[in-house]
Amino acid sequence: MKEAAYIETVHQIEQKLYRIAKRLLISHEEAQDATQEVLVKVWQRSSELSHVKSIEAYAMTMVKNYCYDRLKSKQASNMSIEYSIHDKSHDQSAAFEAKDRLSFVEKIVNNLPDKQKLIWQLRDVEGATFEEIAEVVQMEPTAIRVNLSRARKRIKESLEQIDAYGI
Amino acid sequence: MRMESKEIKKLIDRYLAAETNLSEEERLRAYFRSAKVDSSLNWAKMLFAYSETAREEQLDPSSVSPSMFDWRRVAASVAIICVTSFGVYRLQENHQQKQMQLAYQQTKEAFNLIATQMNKGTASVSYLGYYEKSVSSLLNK
Repeated sequence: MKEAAYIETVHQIEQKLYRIAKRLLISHEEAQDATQEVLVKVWQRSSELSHVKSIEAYAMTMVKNYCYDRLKSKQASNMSIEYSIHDKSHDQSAAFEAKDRLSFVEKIVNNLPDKQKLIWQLRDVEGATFEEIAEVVQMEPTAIRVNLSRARKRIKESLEQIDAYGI
Repeated sequence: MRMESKEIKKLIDRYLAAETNLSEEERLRAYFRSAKVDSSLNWAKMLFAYSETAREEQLDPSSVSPSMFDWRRVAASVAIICVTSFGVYRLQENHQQKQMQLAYQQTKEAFNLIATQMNKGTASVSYLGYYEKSVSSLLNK
């Protein structure tokens, strides 16, 4: 019984890690790799991390670091200039590529700067408290609020624009 | 209704400023899930709808390890091999049976031929019997 509960917790953490990695890295395969790698590292240290909450926070911090490293090395090798473009015209062209309204919102979110994207994901998708977010992103709560507010406003503007054009 | 939407607009403003707490955000989520909203709030409906589907996104367990040794693939290939080889076997068996039948027919015809020829042969040989009888009777006289 205890074991089943443990497996369920691990499963939930795994899904969460995957969603965060997918948000940052976009690619499903890369997000999958990131999730697996981080989980292995968490295992190796799981005896030191007694509390489930601390395991989760630790795992989320690890996956964030992993993804940032991946993004950095990509930018260094010039592999994805695309993802570093954060202008609004890009959002508009994305509107034509999107299959439906929801995948259009996804494109807008994915075009946010990495920091805003991560904070938005943690708050609006994972429902994390500001304290939990602070632990993962290592930022002051005020700075987190500023980034979150920018992300939300930016999504609103893009969606309003598209709504005006109609898709 | 009017009061409610006014309150929602206030909440939305605080949401955009990142001043709402989690339970207030949950209220917004619930509101946009159910209500038909003012067109000026279409963006919020889309945004909350998306964040809810994003929450459901799962790492597909069947694709966790896309290794070469996928049991389902192995099973599928084994099944295909079995079915095709059985088919080929059946086809060959069928072919063999047909050939056997043909051979049987041919042998039967051959036997028939032999039989008729033999009958002819024995019929002509029987004249020889008469010949011998008459010759010996003449000689013995």
